[in-house]
Amino acid sequence: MAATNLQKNWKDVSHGSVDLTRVTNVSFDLGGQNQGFAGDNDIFNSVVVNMMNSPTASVTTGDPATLMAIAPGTDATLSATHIDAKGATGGDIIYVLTNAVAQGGQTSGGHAEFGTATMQFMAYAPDGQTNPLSFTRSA
Amino acid sequence: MPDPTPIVATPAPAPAVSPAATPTAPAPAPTIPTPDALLIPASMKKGATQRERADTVCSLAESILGAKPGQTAFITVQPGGWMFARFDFNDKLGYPTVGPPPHGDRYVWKTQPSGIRYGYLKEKANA
Repeated sequence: MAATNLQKNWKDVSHGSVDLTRVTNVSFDLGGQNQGFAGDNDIFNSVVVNMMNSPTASVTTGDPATLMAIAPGTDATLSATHIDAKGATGGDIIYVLTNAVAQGGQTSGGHAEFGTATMQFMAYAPDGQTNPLSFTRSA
Repeated sequence: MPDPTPIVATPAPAPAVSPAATPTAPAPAPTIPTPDALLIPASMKKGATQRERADTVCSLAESILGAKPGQTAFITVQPGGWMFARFDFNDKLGYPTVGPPPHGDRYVWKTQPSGIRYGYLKEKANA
């Protein structure tokens, strides 16, 4: 079956050696910070420059214990696979966020509802140049 | 009376041949060493969906980098309109800024006629 080019659900989510299951949401943000410049008689920015980038990620899971056990400050690679909508071979997109530092987690659970936990990660680039977020599609 | 010495025609010396006139086989086209990484212009992404765009770039990178069966290239979108492609997502463009030397760029970049930059690891060149 050819890839649908649509993605549905996540699998193989991990932060270092910690496998995260019952994942209900994963998000990645490139965290670009632009700054505009205007001078003279400009009424719009005449130049916009990407000044800094701070990639982040967020994982929500129905397994609060595992996620909340990741201590803030833990530095590891966050991986997640966005599955092809119809499970086609080669249709998955694999994301990898290197040097993803756990920032903090929140957990909650309402009455008669499943408990959830969400953790945010902030990534850095040891060389100051390479975007920590990489992607590929499955073979 | 002895027979006269037979006259044997001395063959004329072969004309000098200019080296330039000697046909030679054409020189083989120089081969470009397989790069360790690529910087691909973002304009080379093709496709209407995210996965299609990822597939075109990954396939291009894998063909140039020489992927083994089942091996996939990891792509990083860099500010400035470039995509950094290599097999190991832990590979960075430069050495860590903190810590002992070396510092600076890890690759030597050669721009190809296609616009793609081929990167060759400096540590391999110095080995």
